[in-house]
Amino acid sequence: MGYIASQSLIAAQLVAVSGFTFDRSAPFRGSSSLRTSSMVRSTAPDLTDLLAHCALGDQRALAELYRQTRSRLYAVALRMLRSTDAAEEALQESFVKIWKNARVYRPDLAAPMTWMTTIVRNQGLDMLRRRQPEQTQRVLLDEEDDRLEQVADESPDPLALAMQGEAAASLSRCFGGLKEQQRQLISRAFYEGLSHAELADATGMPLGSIKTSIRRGLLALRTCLEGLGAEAGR
Amino acid sequence: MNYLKPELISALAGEYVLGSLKGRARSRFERLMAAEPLVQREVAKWQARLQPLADRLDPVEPSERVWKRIEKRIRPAQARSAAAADAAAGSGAFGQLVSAWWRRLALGSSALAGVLVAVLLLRPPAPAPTVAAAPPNWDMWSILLSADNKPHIIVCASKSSRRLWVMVNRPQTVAADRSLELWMMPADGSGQPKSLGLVPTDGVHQIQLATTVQERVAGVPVLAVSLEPAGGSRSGAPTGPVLYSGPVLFKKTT
Repeated sequence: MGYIASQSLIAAQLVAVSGFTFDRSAPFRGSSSLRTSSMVRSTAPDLTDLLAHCALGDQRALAELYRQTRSRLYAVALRMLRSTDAAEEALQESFVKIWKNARVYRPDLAAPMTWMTTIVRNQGLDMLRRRQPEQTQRVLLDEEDDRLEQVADESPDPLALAMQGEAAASLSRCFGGLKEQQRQLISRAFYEGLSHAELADATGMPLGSIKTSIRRGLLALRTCLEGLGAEAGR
Repeated sequence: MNYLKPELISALAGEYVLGSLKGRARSRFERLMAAEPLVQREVAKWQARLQPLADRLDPVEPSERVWKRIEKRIRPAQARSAAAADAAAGSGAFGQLVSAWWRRLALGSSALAGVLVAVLLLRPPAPAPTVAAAPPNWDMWSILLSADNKPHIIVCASKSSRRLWVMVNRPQTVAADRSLELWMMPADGSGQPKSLGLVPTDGVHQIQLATTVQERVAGVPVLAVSLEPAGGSRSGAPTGPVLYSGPVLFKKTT
């Protein structure tokens, strides 16, 4: 996957570097300004292409990238920060970072959505870190968390799995193989951005047990995913 | 620090991506990650492994004001970039565009500060490389990066030709008794690298091949440049440090 993505990024860079006119005002049309017909794409640009155009300073590419990904990335931010204001700020800061760093996006290292999600989650983690402990977090932690049940789905519907794609299906299956406690801790850490200490506070478990449980859970997850041959890329 | 045990690295990378690794432990791990490509790869793997967790959240539409704010934030930078591109007038359309492209990369460098996704980020390149020519109909290329992820050398070619073009993006300083040598790295780490010849420390250079580029680089995942004794490695295998490397890429044909 990374390989194909690399090709299209490079193809887009080629447009900019090789003396074909890169018409800044017409980011996705291209056909009139390119002499090589094989480089003309008639379909909508994919996320990797859009990131490549962002790298070239094309603001419309960012607008389209935002349009295609905002609701998924916003869900991640909202889930972690649990406030509309904070999640909007996180999304905004993340897209400014995506814009500024698109030129160093490496399609061989990460899928576009993975790269962008990482930026959003790191932004969220930063914002959580800056929040003071007396703020509302602890109250929120006690809420019943129905998402955990979904993540820990032990008998997944095959059709749903097929639709989720192979990676998601593999993760679902491997998650199902973890101990209940490991699933809960890993899910809460991922979605809510909780530290080991915060998880200890939230669950009443000793800090050492939290660390051990998460570490064993992650390594079991890795072993299981590798066993399923679900590892993406290299 | 006995940090480089695979199991421990993997667990720490997992905890880092998960976000549960916090405070000083997180900072320590980030420093380790910045220095160790192996750790960067493990982090990238964990990002991919855990991504389905994010994907399964139900999408939520953000307010329209978010985009308005983003637009406001990116506009000034955009204007500066465009001005820089316009100002980058040179001789020949190709040189001009390349120059504009690299200058733009250099311009944006301040934007990089403080972004946490170090594994996915490269350092900004230095300004003003010069690339004066390119082969006709090029459809294969490789950007060779230094260890700190700066693009130093571009190799490109037309697959059906027998000639590789090597463009040095920024002049190199190499001791008089040393040469830079270009290698095709073996797939999957098995087998020996094969030499493609010496490369210059500056300017544009062509390497003549006995077969077509297509035949020669078929299946080669990565090109690399190592520092060798003047005239090239005598053993036929790289002996000096690998200075630059990059994946071999082909233009997508549709």
